[in-house]
Amino acid sequence: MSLHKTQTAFKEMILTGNMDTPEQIFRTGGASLNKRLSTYKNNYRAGLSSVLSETYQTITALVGEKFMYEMSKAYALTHPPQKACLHTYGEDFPSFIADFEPACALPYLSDSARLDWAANRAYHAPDREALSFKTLDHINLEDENLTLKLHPSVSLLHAPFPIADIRHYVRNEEQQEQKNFKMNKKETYLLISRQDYSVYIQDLTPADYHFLSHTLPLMESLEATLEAFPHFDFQTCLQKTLACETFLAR
Amino acid sequence: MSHPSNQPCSLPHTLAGLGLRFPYHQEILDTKPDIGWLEIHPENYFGGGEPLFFLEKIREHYPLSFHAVGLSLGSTEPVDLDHIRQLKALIDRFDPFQFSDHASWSASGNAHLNDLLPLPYTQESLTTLSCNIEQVQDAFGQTILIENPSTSLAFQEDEMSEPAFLNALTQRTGCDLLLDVNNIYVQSVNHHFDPKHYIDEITTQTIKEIHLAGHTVEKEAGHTLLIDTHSAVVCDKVWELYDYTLRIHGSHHTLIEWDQDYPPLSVLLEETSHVKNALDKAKHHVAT
Repeated sequence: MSLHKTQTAFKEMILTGNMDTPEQIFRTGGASLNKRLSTYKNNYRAGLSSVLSETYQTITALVGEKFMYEMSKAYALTHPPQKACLHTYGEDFPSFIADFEPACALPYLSDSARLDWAANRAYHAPDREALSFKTLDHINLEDENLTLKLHPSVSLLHAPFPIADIRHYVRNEEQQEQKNFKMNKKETYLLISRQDYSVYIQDLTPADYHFLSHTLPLMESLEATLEAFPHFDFQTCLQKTLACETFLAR
Repeated sequence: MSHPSNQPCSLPHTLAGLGLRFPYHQEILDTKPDIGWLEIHPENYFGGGEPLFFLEKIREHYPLSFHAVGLSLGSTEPVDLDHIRQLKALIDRFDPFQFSDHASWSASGNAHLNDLLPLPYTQESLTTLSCNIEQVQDAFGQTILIENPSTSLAFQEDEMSEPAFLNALTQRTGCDLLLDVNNIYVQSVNHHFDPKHYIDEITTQTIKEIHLAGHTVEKEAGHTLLIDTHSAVVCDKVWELYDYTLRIHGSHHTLIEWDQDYPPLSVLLEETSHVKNALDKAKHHVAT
């Protein structure tokens, strides 16, 4: 068998659990082939489940480790990593959760996962200089062609559930003891970024979110936002977002 | 290669080193234990943010080596050029004194599996692995080290022994060897051979680093299968094999690896003390 065919068959064995006539490929003796093949299947599943439970800590806290392991395993078998760097693994997990039937009783789970992914993205994003109040002095905000680009650590999220409150609640033992959390629907607009190497989650107004979601030149974004939200407070939005290291310096 | 002025010399002052993992970043910086060097998986430092911040700080106090896990050098797929580019950027920034990866594969078609998977020891595997190693060595402008694997499976179509395969690989590509003594022990139990014969067969001049780690023992109907989990202290039989390796091949940079169920740092430092004692004993043995 060519090396290419051997590797393809081995990969299929790990992902599907099946391999035709392994005794014709591998040596036998001592521990059974079934046991030997299982070490690779188990290592793949356990390794990726561990990566996902680390990235999606809110989800693990919400559903428990056992449920998370089963959900992660189901994801890993249909979504193998594309890259060796595992902190980039699991981007599609929120969409997968949305379609994962055993989790359908928790409609906020997929949106909570999107927040965990945004936090993971912020934590590992490349280091680039952010626009600050100081560097803003060198920029003409009225320049018609000026476009402010979002820093690579930044994500903008809109969800019908209070996902930032959920994340904060499940990670805060004191709050959990008070058991005072109410899971009500609540439109949430968030900016996720990194400051001083820590992930930062900032509440936005719908108008802030509308403004930041546009990649148009600044003046055009501002006009579009004012049209949709006549009371949009540009100055406050700018102050809030500069403090969160939202834009690239250049 | 010159290195940035805030970094110490690239070469370790002593041979015993430790695998640096995220849970130990702060404590290593706070306590600066007496370790010759630290080894990282460079893939853990792709991107930016806090991991790179810590690595910069730690590099100010320790020489580093890079032990990659993601090049998939034994794969029939082409080596990921973006992966090479990111590794090269880290090499240029941190000036590691050695770079290694494994005699294994991970990538196949649409998947990059999170494991170091076994190769049959055939001429075809030798050619595939050699071409990929040469591509990486050309990209980095330096020779790299290749680590012997630990496997649960061996192939019917093997045309040569594992040490013969590794010797042929070093001869063909000019690469060196990272000899993982725990892996040799794991292989000897899983595939039923004498580990000392394996160690005897390796070409001394190609060994540039040694790894030691713990494994777990699984039983099935009276048969034993060892799994290279890096989640326990080095067992006595591996320490004995390490002493034997030093007697046959001389002293080399030696690393303690631990990758799961992390213990307190003090446990790892005890393991590195054991390495130092073994190296001292071997030096004394040579002197007398």
